[in-house]
Amino acid sequence: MTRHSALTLLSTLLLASALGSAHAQDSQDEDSAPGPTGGQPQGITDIEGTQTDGENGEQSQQPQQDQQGQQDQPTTAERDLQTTPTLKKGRVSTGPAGTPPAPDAQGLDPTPPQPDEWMDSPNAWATFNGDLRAQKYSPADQITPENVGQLEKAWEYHTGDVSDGSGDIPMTVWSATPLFVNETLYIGTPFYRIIALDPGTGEEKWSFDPDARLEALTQPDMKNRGVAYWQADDPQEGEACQKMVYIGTMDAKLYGVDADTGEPCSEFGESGMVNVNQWNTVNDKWPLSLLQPPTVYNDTLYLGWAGKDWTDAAAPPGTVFALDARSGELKWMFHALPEEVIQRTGTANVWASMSVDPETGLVYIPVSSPSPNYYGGNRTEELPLATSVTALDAETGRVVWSRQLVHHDIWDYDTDAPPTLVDIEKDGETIPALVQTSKQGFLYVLNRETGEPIYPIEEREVPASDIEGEQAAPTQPYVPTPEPVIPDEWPGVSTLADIVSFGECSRRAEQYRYEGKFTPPSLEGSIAFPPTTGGTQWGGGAVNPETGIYVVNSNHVVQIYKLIPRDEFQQAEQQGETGGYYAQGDVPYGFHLQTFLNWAGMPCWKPPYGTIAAYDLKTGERLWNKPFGQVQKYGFYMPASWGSVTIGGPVLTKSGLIFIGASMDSRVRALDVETGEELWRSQVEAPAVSIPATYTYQGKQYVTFIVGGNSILLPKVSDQVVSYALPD
Amino acid sequence: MAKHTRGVAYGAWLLLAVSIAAVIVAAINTFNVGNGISYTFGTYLVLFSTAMLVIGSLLITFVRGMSRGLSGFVSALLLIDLLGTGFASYLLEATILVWLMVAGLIAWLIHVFADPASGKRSHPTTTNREAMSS
Repeated sequence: MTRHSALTLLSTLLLASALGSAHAQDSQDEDSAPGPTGGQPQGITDIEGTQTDGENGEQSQQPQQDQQGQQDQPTTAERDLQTTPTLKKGRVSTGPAGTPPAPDAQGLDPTPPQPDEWMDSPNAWATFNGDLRAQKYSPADQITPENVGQLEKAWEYHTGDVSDGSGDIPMTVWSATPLFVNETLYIGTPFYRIIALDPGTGEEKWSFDPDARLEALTQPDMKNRGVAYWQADDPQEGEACQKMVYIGTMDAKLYGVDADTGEPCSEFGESGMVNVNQWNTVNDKWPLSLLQPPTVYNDTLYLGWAGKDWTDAAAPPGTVFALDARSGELKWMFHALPEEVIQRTGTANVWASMSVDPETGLVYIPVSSPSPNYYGGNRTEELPLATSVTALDAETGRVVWSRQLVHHDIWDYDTDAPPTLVDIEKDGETIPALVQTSKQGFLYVLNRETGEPIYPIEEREVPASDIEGEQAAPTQPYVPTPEPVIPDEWPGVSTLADIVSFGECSRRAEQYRYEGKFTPPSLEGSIAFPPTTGGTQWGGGAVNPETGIYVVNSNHVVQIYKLIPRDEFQQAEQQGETGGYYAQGDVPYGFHLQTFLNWAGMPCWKPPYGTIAAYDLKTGERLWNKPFGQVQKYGFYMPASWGSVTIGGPVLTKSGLIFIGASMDSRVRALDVETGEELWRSQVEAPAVSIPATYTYQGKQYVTFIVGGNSILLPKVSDQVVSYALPD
Repeated sequence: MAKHTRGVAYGAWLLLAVSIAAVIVAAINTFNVGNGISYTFGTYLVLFSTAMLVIGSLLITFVRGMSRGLSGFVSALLLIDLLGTGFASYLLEATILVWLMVAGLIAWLIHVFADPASGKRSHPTTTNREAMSS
């Protein structure tokens, strides 16, 4: 080949390349406004094409193009979204990478995508809840009830990302689940770093630091519940970002990095970051904090957010985002509140994790209560998706079914945990079921394809509100079977606390309003049992899908809900009262929340303060229910029969073990699922307020706990990751 | 020649040994990070109470000439200290300290009921014993 021929060929190739690139860009622009019937978005195809080509020139141009797109996005994205009404006053806005739902679509999608194989590996712990079904179950059986007593520390790692709040950085609350997948243990930290560890030794492989803002922009503490993992169906060897790890930040940024190197994935959003706050356009008083890792299914990230509690009436309205896992492009955005109310109220968001049925393609979302949380006079309309468990079509975001768990929620009874999906053998039938835990202490067992109850749900009359302007719902759903995780009535005054306080507890109890469950907040103060702490917290329950045995830990806490007329509230504010006072925006009442303690800090109600229970889902029968953990105050452990408030969830293994941290006493434990008996425990540095992970690596089963602490339980923090295994 | 037969105060010595062991264990509990109770009010309290136990034990072991009343008062304080420290240790789940307090209680009982009396009141007893052994 002559030099001239070579130059001609090169020029031709460059020209062809430029034309191809321009054509691809045009295609993307055209497809950013999807047609009425949708279809596979071109944006995804283009990105895949770029990755397959692996041409440096195109890859280096892509971030610039993305950057330009991102800068324009707040206006462009809004203009391009196609909004479709869906069941129960919900709405879906379809983004450039999404498929709008058919307006008349009903029931399940006839052709759901298949489950991701990598996620269903029996050795892995690939999601926040172990798997997509939120079963928190491992088929690993190396550690058994017989040998669990020999469990010993295999390794320990400290992230360094911890704050006790005494300096510039707010206190850390770390509740991450470690993920074991891709032969690596991935953790997210409350400083929003991602760390990859060797699962057998705890040695650091790499870390990614987004240099996130370490400020309490919404929550009072630096919170994180870990990371999410995704990989392509057919990862290409040697190509970056075929496997990715994601972490969100308090200021609404979602980062995606290569799972093997920790390098940001340039094709994900803007140089590896999607600013989710670009879609925070209504009542955007604070950023949409991404404290819970996304749920990953079918190359899509499902993302909820957390906000600022109890300060505003009109707050950002609840949304769930579905983003393309590779590009971060919006597929759809689900709105839980109808448009006509969003200038007066907000939230009804999804701050806990979600579950997915990979067989049917349904995403189950636990929807929280609308704002303000303790007064509903500004939102008396029916908001059927608020405080609900709702099933969305994973592909389009349309509501397939929804069940409201609390009507007109004025107790902050957020649905706060993902439903656990399990098939139940009942009366000779296999029923596709879900079990939804709740702050109100009920276990809702529903058919997960229809939302219909498997065990009956009754509408029971509840007390009326005596607050002017408030219209408490006349009835509330009540679940007699399975037996609620906490008693129906508040436990009554503790004799010991009453003696210590010279009768203060009983005197105060008589002053408060109490007419059973769902007693509305009042001016004199109402006894709330359970209160906003639950019942059951975000850890939810765990199930053995083979036996149908379901395990759940719960709190028995009494708080006092008191509404304060606005003028009195402002007066208190001027006098510098801050502890427990919440403005609730511009509604006629502020709110005062306090746990029912005596002067010495002792709970005024009878123990136990926390329990763990096992249920047989086939019959709804509670098999056992025991106090769990120990209260620790000033270093002193209270009697085991008192139990402990718990935050975090249990894990079940095939061999019949429950692994759980969660308690105040900074201990992690193994219990016998048959009896609830404690078989093993180990001291850790702070309350392990997280869901542990158990996985098998190189033939050895490990149980790994994140030990971070939570200021709700104790002002005790840590950055410890500790892994246990049987001795060699 | 009259032999010096003043008896050894085994109880006091045992209590001193126990209290020294207890203060060491309490210090370890207080400053050993990762035991679940370190640097808490409870461990500081127990460290203080075991230190008081050491001081009280030193008093009853070495100080002669205490009045009967003072001696009884110190013994009563020691008992309160032992019981209080034992209870606090039980709540701290500091098992070794609990057992040390049990041992301390036995030592206290020996001291009260079997040790030769210390202080002013001890003379007649000693004299009697010396007389008996002459």
